Amino acid sequence: MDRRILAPLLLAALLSACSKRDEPPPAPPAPAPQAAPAPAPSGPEATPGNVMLSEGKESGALAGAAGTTGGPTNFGDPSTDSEALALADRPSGLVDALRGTPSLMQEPRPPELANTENKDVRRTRSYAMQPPTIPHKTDNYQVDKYANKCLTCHSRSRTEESQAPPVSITHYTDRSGNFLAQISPRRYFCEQCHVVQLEVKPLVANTFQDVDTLLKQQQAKPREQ
Amino acid sequence: MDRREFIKLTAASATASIGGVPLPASAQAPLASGEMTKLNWSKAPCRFCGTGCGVAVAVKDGRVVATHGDPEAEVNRGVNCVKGYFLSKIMYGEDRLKQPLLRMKDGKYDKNGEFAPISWDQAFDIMAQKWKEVLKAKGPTAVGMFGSGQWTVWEGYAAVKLMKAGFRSNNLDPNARHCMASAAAGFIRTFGMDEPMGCYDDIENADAIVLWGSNMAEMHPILWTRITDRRLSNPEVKVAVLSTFEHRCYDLADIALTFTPQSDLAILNYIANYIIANKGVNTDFVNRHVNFRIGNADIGYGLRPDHPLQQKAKNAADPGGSKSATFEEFAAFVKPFDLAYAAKMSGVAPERLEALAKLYADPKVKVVSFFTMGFNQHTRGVWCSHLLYNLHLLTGKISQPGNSPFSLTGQPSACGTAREVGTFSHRLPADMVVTNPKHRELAEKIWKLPAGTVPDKPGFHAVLQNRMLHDGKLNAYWVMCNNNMQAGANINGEGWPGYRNPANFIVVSDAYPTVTTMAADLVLPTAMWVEKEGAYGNAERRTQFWHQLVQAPGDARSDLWQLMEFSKRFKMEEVWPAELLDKMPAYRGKTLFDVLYRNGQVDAFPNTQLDAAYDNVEAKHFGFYAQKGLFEEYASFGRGHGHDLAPFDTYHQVRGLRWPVVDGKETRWRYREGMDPYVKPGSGFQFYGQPDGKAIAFAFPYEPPAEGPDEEYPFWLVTGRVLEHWHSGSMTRRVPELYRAFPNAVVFMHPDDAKKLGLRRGSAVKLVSRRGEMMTRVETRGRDKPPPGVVFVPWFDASQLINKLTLDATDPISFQTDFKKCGCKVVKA
Repeated sequence: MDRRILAPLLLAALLSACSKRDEPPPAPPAPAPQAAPAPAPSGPEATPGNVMLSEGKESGALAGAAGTTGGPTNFGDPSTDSEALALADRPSGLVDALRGTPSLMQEPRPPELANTENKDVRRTRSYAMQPPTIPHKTDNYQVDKYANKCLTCHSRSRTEESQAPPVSITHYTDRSGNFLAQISPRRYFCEQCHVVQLEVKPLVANTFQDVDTLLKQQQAKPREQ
Repeated sequence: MDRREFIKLTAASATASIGGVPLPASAQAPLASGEMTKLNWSKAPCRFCGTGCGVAVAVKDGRVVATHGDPEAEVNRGVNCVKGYFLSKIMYGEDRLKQPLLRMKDGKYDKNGEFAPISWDQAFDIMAQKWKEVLKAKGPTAVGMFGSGQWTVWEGYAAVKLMKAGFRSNNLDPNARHCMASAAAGFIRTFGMDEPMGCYDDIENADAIVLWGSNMAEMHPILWTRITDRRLSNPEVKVAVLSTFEHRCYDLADIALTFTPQSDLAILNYIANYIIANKGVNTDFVNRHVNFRIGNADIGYGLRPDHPLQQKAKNAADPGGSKSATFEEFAAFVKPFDLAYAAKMSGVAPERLEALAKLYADPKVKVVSFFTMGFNQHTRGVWCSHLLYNLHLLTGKISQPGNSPFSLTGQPSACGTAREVGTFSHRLPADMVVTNPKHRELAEKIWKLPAGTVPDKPGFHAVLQNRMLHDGKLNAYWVMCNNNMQAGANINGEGWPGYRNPANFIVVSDAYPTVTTMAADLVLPTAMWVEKEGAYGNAERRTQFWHQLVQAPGDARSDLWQLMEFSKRFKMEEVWPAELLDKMPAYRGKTLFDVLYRNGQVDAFPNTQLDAAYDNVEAKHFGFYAQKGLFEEYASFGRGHGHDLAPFDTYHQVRGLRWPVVDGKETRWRYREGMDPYVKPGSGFQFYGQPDGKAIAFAFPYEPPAEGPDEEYPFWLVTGRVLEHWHSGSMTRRVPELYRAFPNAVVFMHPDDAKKLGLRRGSAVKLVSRRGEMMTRVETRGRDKPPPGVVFVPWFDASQLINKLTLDATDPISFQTDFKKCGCKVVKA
């Protein structure tokens, strides 16, 4: 699907999002089956004991940080101190996936710096009000009080040339809800809400389910009975 | 699915329907029927920083399906930052903790065993057994708790009661100690009361906004949207940014001042001197409302007493001491701080320093000064805030719209819970302290306890807790709602040996596995954010409530449930000495739960008062509206004393109110006649926290930091945060979009420094200090641009524990760690 087909859908979503100031906007109409990021569908009740307990297979990691610890290391009985510390750093079966190693004393080698995903393909939003993530590089973009490089493509008046989505209508209101002629200064620094995505895989799956998935489940229920 | 597949599928559906082929259910109707698409929207404050943005939360089928900026919320008026927009996902990381886990070997607890799931009953059994053993062997000073500025108001309050009244131990401190203890100490010493006098409305009223060690563009993004709005809508408004490295706030700066670490002390004194020398003093204001004092110098660095720097410090024993002075003596004190000296010390061009000084000295310019971690995480952090108040007091630019020295906080309830409830080792609710007999007496009266229950000595503060764990003097320890193994300084030297000391039993309550849970002996699964009813207080004194909106997964329970349920395990005879119990014989045979939470006050509100539209796991479990009872009992400490809170039910209706709330009205500017109901008519201003109503301007010199670069460790190491991750990243790094925006920490360094070391962007390096090392990658083109000689490393990454390098030096008055200054080297890895 090219951008032109999506545009009316997006516009409808935007309009509905702005319909009433004091009421949160409803979800936009679902255009078609979406490719959900689909983490393993595990409802809270479905997996009662989903603890991150590893098998504790990894050994090693017993080497202490000796030589780098500058502080005093007496446990009251200094003779057992280093032994206790090494023992304490054995795999305990509980690993923080965000650390990725069972050892707290050994620092892992960091992964290489990843590239920014630069495919310029729009990504599905998790809900209508989610700020879209940026599908292209923004390296060396000047965004300061003198210039805003993002707006050279994303401002309303540049839409035809750039075919980039113009900034949302929500971005035109000031703090009091009045529509301004231009983007509200409070929305000026784009990267406070819109962020690029690097070519990395999440360390932990997220079981968030979007509202369309829940609706589908709900619609499917009566037929199953 | 890529675009092509999407088109094919859409086309297939269209063809199928024409040919009369049955369609899959999802494609049958373009819209689900009306009822089905309804979402339940409720309000909640954001889970992250101290700004306190309002969030609208949508729930469907028991799950949060969307969040967005609440248009009704005064703080943010419909906008969130990227973290706030992704709140929907923070509870749904796949590895949520759902059962208590205990280190075991052969079916029994073993400090060196492996974690295995147990029931809550078993968890509290072993925990109570350890607590009782320690209490019996060593007494109350050997039990302790490390809490949080992320606790809800009633969780913090329940913890204060459990620790200070129940176990009779003041060893309760929040991670907020790392965050704003210096600001709190500065407020109390100058104004006699904690927390800012102004509010966020100052932004829309200011002519100049000055950032002192505060990267608001990343750490308080929504306040930054308000500043950007003010600056771009009113070109005459000036923004000045002071920092030790260039960051995103510089994009809006009219005056940018990158200074040598620690020289902020010299700059502040130079501006005071400039104000005096250039007739910028508001003499009438100073005469009526300001006292002057000269504070003790050479006060040490909050290190262990045997550290050479402590032994050398003349006033290490009396860091907070001061003596009375006249205005003339104060003026003479700051006189040596001239422009040449400030420029030499700071490395900032003289014309920039002078431009900044003029903003303060010009009586026509209304100035808001924001400060955060650059000031607070400083071995002279309390001095910094005093020296800043001096500028506002000398000029009378205070307590009026647009004129405000303003401390920002990093946690959602650093103010509401840590400070106002008083979860610090020296504090009690409503700015009271354990060292004041009258304060203890009042607390004991409100809590219906015998005189002498609350101990009179301050307990172990955050850094001291790790040292005491290490030394084996603190043995039963509960960490709740924070990740201090990652967040605390000097992990190798104190934190890790403290937690793993065989003499200690460490309990950690969290929603997710963290490095702190990995270092624990017992891990308790915890309900978070809208899985419970809560209240937070933000940085402008705004108290905000939310309802429980969804259920926590598995057996996860809120901190409140855990604290109250644990208290049932203790008979009064097991925790109080006989002499104390003799004073209140009616308490014999009762449990801590009975005495602390079934005291006729906390249990005063029946569950019929619950809002029927929302669940409340704790109220249903305990049989009374515990949150309401705790809040109302807590509020009785501050009502009528300048800390007035509105009735409980009000807060569920409104988008927060700024205390003191008197006659139903909030207070936006304190200490100013006509704006603050506590100010006496005719006084103009009254700093009523002080007995004579006058604020104190303190004079302090420049003093060097505890550690700086040298030949072996040639770089300043500065640590901090990034926009996309909140603190240790345990929530935000589990949100795919936020993780992919900034997956790992890097070391931001100047390209010339990198070149000299033969490094380039992306090189793997080892960062080494006297205390430890970690590995990371070089970033020379990122958003943060340190000057040569400075490196900046964010601490959100659990796989890069930068706090192995940092020094656990603290401000000797506030005991807050300086995470911004130590020496390090960078080695190719």
